[in-house]
Amino acid sequence: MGLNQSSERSALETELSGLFLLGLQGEKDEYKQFLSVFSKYLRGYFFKKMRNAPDFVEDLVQEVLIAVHNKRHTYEVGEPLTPWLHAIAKYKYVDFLRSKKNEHLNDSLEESQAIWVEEIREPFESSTDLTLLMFSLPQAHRRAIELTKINGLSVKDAAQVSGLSESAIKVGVHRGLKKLAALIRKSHENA
Amino acid sequence: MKTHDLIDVLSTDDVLPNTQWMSQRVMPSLLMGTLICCVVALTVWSVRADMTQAMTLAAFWFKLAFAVSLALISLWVLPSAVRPISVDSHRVWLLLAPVFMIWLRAVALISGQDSVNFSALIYSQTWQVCTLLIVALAMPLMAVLFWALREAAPSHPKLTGFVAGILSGAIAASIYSIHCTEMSPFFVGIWYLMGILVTGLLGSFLGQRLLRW
Repeated sequence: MGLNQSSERSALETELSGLFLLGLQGEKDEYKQFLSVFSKYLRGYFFKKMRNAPDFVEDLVQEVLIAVHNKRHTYEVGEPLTPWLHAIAKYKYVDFLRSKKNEHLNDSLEESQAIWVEEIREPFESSTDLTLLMFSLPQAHRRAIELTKINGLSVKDAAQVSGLSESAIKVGVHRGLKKLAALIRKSHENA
Repeated sequence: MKTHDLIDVLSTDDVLPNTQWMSQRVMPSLLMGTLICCVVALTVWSVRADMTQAMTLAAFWFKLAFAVSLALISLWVLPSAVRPISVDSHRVWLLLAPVFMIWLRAVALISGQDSVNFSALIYSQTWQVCTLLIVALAMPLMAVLFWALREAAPSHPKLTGFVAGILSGAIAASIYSIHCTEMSPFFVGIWYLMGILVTGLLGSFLGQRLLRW
């Protein structure tokens, strides 16, 4: 491994672990930033591995993000973060290959170390339908999230379209997202 | 759903992760499971009648040491097998040490003798039930332990299940050994071992299904 690459990796380690540790203590903005920086590297990682099946890349990125979130208590404070993240990504990748065994997607599992250096910024949309979970939300919350997060309307426009007040939309999005997070956690605990 | 939105969802999660989950959740569950097993064992069976006399015999302590050391070794292995990064999966091989010890003692026991009645040593009174009772006694413990391990994220769920199974079986065997009057190292090295091994295999079977994440 070249010097350049390893120093780049340790820079990544510093950046990610700083944000992640704050996230563990409940700092939401830092945690969010961690997830979004990490997701870019993940995207690069999986794109490189799955040139034959780019459609699945975003699914895997999201799978790993959810796994990292749900299992973040298994990170031991003080140990390097990137190997832990890499172990999760690898586990999910192997799991994915196993589930798609018959679809000729296999690429080598090795060469896995040189991965955290590439990033791809533009996310694709995943086919995983988390919208299914949204049906267990109260209708007002669901509507607020649909309008703002999925249709991409501003709070003001969403209020106009739905006939709700702006603050009702804001509250709906906030509570709805919270509830969704709980649902995702629960669905993974039961899986 | 867009990844961007997923990140929004995940970062609004209010539940703080408990990084002390092994010591605060899994270990207490294990302790509770062990207590349940003790209560079950004491309710169903009695402590062996000749306990005070047995406690003066080396064979009694060897039997207990065999089961307890298997339990301690698997307890030592378990924390390294519950996380995505496996620290030392070859630690598992250390489980063979108590097995060799008890077999070595069995060999030492007969090495000085001219004619040995093996079937008397191996098939003494309770061999038909011993294995089964150990497996049965381990079940509540295993249930509690697997329940607590839902929070784990093992890189090799099968192996983790095996270790959890051996741990449950070895604790059950330790408790059972207070009741059971068999003490021959042949008996322990075969039927006790079998009970613990069956629990371990059951654990690896369950691990593959329940400990995936």
